[in-house]
Amino acid sequence: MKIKYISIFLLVLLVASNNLNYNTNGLTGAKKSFTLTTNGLYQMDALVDAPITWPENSINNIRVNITATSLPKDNFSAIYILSIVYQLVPQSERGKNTSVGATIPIYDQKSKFINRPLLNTTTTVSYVEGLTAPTSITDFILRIQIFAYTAGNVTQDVNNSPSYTIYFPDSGTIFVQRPQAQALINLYGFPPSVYLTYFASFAGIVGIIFLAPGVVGIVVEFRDDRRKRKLSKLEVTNEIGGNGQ
Amino acid sequence: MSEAPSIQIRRVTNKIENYFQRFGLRTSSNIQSSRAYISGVKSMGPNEIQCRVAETSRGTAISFYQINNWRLSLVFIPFMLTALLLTINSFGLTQLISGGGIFGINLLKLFLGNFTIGVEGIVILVFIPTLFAVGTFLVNRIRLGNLKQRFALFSKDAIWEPRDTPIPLLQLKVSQTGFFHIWILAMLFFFVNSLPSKVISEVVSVYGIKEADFLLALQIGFGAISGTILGLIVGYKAIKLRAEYAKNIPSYRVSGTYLERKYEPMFFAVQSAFLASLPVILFLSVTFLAGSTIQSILFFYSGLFVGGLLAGFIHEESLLWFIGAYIGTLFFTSLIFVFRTGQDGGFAFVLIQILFLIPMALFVVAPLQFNYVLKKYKIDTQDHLFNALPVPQFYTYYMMRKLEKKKEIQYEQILQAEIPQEDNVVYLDKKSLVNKAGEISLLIARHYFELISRYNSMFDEKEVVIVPNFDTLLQWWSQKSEKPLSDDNKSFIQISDKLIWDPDFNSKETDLQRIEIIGKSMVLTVS
Repeated sequence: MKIKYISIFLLVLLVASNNLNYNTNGLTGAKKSFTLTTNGLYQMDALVDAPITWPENSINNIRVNITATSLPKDNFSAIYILSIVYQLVPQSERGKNTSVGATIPIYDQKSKFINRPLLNTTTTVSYVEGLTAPTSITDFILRIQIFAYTAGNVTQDVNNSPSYTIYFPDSGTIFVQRPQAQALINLYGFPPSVYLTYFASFAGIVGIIFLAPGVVGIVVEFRDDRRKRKLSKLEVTNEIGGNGQ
Repeated sequence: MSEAPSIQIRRVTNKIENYFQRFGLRTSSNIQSSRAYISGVKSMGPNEIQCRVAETSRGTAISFYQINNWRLSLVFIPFMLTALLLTINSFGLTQLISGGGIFGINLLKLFLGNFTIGVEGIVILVFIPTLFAVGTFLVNRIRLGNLKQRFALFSKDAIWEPRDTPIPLLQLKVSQTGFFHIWILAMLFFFVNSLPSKVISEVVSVYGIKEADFLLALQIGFGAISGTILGLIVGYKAIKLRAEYAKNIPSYRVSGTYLERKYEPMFFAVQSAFLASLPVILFLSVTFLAGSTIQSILFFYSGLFVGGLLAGFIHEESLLWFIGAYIGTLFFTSLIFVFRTGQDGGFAFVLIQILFLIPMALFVVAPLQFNYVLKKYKIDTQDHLFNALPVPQFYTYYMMRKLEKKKEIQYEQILQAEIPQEDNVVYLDKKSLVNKAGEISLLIARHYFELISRYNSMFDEKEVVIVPNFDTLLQWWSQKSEKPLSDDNKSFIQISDKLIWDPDFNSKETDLQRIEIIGKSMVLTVS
């Protein structure tokens, strides 16, 4: 009986783990260097690490490593990383430098506010962000914009700081991997998945209410069964002891 | 610790317990020093009857009462909740109602479909639970009346005719189960209606029709499946309930030729289905099927007929047949709509929605597993068959568990108390018993005589009571406790009998401690 329950539990775990799929197998893009001021004193390197195939309905981690490579040798100079914007764009957008909010096809967009200074050239800071694959297309590229300003340039407007763009991957595109089962359910005339999610959760609640007394019955029967087995064992020992009957 | 009850009170209590058990009631008694309460439970919920026994200066007073009537109001709870929602809606607190809530679900549409506030709508929502509560109350009244009427004749071996519980009342009781089942089905079936408008438009766009046509298709589909399923559930349960009542009422027994016995239940099930459909169709006409075409009503009634016939056809088979019939009706009803999908795209959704409801068959029979628990406490009734939310059953189960412990404590109190001396009664020689096998032999003798006194309470007080022989006593015990006889039971009777009556009894060969435990458990199972 125990093995049965354990196997059911393992099966549930298996199904659950299949759904919570964190994709970590990745590819590191080429290193890219930026010079932040015209005099060339402030420089930084940026490196993107992300998976090249994204399974549908899974979270894909994108890691951005930033290192300051050149800073004036004093105590107050620093590069301030203001924020990082992640955009999923079509391949044709590669190389076009457009600002955030412009009317270009963007499948998904996520921004992260950081505001952190890079004070020396030895430390590397990395930022990780999870993104899900778009549902409407199968291939796209990743555009990452780093908004940064320097302590040395006093004339810079902090609220409208310049951005430095990286495209990932360096060549080719990221592919969206769709599960095989999707094709089975994606028949013509089948209700959309939004409706199914709602319906399944509601039906689950109704099901729990309906099944509650049945579960109580099963538990009581199981407990009685165990007690009976214990009692029968006791009786056997009594007979061995000999009670004269 | 309270004073031990007198012998008279205990004798009368035993007698009334016996009397209740003849009607198939599960009894529990609470004996105090000068009075006793005996409760008889026929089924869970409101059907509870109590007999109160009290010693007065003029003799023993016995009176019957209907207790726990407050439980009748449990039927009102779902209706009260919807009324609360209506009130919230009318006060303009529409956050939860109009889709701005937690999941964006319109709760009012989920519970009541296309309900619009009007006089007839409100009247019907009040009328339906009242009908159910009054029906149950009346059935209980008739049971109480039967008990009162016949008690005077009980010990005189008179032939008595019980008062019939009218068949429509039984069907009304059954209709309550069908009603709540259909309500939950309707919530699941029309679930898409209560979702945010964004989701509805997405669903509708798949089938390429207008939202109003989509709703009409849903209503026709629901008319068909609700009819067949109501007919099936109500017909099946009505036959089972009537068979249970037929134990006491001979006119309810189905007799005649083979064909009569075969076809009578079918027509009875159809008849019950039509009568039980009354509250359901009233409710649906103001809520989920409001503004539907005549087609859905026709589908509903033809479904009732088919479902009733099917229930009458399968009622003698196992429960697996019921599950099969439930799934079969859903499957074949969906087949009706296959050929309409070409003309109306909405029926494709109806078809899929009907197929989604197939797992409900498992949920319907889930409460039957609960029967194991109830049978443990000797509650064996069809009253709660297919009931979705067995709150009263849970309550009764809890009370019975408490009662088992209480009984044990009471019996221990009785064992400790000294038996008052009465005239013309022969008493055992306690000293010789103690000499034979020590103090424990007294306890064993008490258990033995307790069993015999419970056996004797079946008979009239003035009858001459003979000590029953082994087989009679054991057979009676096994019948009353509904347990098969084991070697333990036999050895208790044999050894205690030898212990009391055999002068050459040798105590060294037997494990008297164990015999004492068996005897105590035997007394407790029949008390």
